[in-house]
Amino acid sequence: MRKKGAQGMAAALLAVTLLAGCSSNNNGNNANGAAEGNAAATPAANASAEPSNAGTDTGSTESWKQDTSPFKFSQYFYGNWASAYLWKDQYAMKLATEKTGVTIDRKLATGNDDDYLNTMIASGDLPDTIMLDWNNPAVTKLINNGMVYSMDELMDKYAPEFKTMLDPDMVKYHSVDGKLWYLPNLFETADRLTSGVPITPIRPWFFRDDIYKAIGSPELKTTDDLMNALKLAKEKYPDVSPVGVENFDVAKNGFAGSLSMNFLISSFAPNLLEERIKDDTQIVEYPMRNKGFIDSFRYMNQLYRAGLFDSQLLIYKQEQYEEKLYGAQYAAASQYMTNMYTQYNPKIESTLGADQKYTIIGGLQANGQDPRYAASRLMGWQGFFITKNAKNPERIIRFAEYAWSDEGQLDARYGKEGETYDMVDGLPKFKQEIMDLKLKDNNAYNAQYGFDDSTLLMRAGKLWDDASARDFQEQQPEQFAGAKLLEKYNFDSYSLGMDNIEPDGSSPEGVINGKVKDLWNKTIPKLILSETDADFDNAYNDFISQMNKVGAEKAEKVMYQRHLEDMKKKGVQ
Amino acid sequence: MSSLPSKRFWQQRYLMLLTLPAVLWMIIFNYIPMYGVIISFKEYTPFQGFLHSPWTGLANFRELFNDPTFTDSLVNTFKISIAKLVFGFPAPIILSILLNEVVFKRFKRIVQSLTYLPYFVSWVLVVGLMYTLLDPETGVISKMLVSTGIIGSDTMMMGSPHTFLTLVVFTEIWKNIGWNSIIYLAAIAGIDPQLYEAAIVDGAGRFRRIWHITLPSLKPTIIILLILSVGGLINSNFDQMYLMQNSMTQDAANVLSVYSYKTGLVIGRFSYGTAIGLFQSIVAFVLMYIANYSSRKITKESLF
Repeated sequence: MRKKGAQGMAAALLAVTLLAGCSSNNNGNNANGAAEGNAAATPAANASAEPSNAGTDTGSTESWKQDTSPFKFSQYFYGNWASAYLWKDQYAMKLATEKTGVTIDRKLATGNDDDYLNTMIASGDLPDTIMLDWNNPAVTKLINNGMVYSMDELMDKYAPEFKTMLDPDMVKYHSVDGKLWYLPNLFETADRLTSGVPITPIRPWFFRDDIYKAIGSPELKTTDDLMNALKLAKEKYPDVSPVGVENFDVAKNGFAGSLSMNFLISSFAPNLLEERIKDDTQIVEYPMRNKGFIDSFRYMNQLYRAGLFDSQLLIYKQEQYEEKLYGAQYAAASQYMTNMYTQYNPKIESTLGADQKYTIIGGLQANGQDPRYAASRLMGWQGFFITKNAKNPERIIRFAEYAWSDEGQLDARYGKEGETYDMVDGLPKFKQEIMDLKLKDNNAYNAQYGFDDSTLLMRAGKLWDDASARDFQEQQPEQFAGAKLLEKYNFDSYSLGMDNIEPDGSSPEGVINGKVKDLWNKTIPKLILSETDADFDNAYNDFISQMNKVGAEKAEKVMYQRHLEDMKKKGVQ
Repeated sequence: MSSLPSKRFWQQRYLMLLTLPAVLWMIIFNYIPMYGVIISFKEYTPFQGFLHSPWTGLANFRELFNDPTFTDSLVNTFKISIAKLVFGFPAPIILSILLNEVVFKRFKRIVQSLTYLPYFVSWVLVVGLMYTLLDPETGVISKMLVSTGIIGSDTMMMGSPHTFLTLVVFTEIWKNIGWNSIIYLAAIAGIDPQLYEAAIVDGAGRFRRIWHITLPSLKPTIIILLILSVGGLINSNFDQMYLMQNSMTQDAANVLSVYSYKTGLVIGRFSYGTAIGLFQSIVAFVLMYIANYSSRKITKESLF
């Protein structure tokens, strides 16, 4: 389940994993000031221009250069955590405005994101543009209700060159009914996994250094080792909570419930994805039917019964968890790698001392089998939608062309050459003080520069991907080593066809899926807090029978169909 | 004879004018939006709008009655509302009678102010405070309850379905008791003092005076407010329920209004969510009507 919270995105955006060849053939990007004179040609004149012959007309220059007068459009950003991503005087955002005249008035939901989005949809009161996870159920609603423009339509009319810049694989994968309705950011290509940059597709667990040393630095190779280490930790440090995992919310985090569970699930159910696909009966099973998957919850239950899991974690909000992590109050805790190394550890080091920092735990064996982490290239994160309410879709699509172009990417990620970065061996490199700020005070870096925060149409590209890979290795050796440690358990799950297979939210099966998730969400705390094995089994069996009763199998059939579709779109079969 | 109503209307034209804004307000904000309930009989899509979305008849309601979550939330709603009615309704009456008996005026005023202050505190804040005060490790109230042996040291008050109902009722009373007592205090203030004087002369003690004078004088107020509360029986407080639920109490906290919000807005099944809301309103109306009718029959007091 590749749903991301704030940390997920920050992790993705630090882009260490985005090592992909740039597949766009973006020749028109060398700024060509002379052609600007043509900009006066009416848009209507090139409205009919074919992309193929656009080069002879005004299309020879980037479309966004035709009009750089001040222009503002509104944007709803799905993700109420993204307060650092607002277009608020950050360097990267100001640079884009300076060049194109465009400012984005970015809004976040004040409460629940789905709530906010659905209210906008229900009332038809949409902003000019939306950035929304492309696999969110509301996407179908936006498209089917005719509330958004198709990118093809706008590009044909106003930015013909733009089409040629797009990755054909991306267009193929993301088109719905033959049209591209949104532009996804962070769509990656095949060489992600072979680029030499280690990827950690799960959220690892960490152990606090001093506690680990105090219990004699035992080997942590299996899940049992971890349990024993936690027991020792509790004895030596009774005031510290042995385990810290993030809150459980199936609707938000997928079937694992908590993003922290993925680490255990990969140990207990290393072949989960393959095992879910049942070709003989033509269903893709819910993971809750998988023994290994449930064993990972059984493990949590054992932690609870051994007094190692604080039931408070089940009612903690994100902030409470983070607060305790900043205070290094867990012996072992789960966190995104990037966040641990650029946010929590630096803060812990400066306030509590370096000895209380966290160190990554390697892959854990369960029941004698090695863990396996499903690593796939990202199919994209958020889609950039232009709604029918947009007052000036022409300017917006042209701005999108800028943002998508190599120039726009470099501006958004690195700023101005000589001012914020230098070219070193053909790759951009931040000035040292900016790099230092990024690694030592990530929040200040975000507020001041915003280089990772516009997220608008960020895409793979050799230049910046190579640069960030180099920086990763050079500047964050600790995290690099950590990622290397886990990398050997990765496998490429791309060809399994398990991306975006849950039934469409508005379909009858989607309704069933919603009910299954709701039931599972209620069951998780019961499982974890079971007092006996029998309690655990009862709660689990109850869940399975209820899930069958609401019609889970129908949804499983649809998941199988969507699984086939996914393989077809990817060209594997 | 027939011209009498219009003549009367004309005579009262200035009064009518005065009430006009209120009537308009009701029409605009309470009656016109009601038109939106038609989407519970439709498969509403925003693109086609209220009028053109396809009709589905009673499909949403049929699904509703077969939906186990709906049944659960209906049961929860009644359970919570009845508990609130049983314990919460008499509380302000008792408080106002007690306050009335207090002779020391300054003390009375302080108590009164202190009890209705919580009314102005938002539920967000109240629930936030509860999480802090009831934290098993650091919460002051938790520690107090543990040291007096009322709860075990590992009881997680905010995360237990067993303590949930108690907390809901308790906070509801704490928050509203002072505010709700105002109306009773006003009613008590309107009782003729001569009645009390006569009772004293007849040798009635404090409790007899309360029983034979204060309570009977409060009866009309109590009945009217009771009828109104019965109407609200199926309307458990959304803010409170929504904020107090977490992954451990969701079973107990899933009430109709929260369920309607979750399906309607969070998941985006607008028609289904509206159907839940409509069902709730109809049941509330029926309940209130029954309460009003029985009260008219039994006590001759009624709302309409």
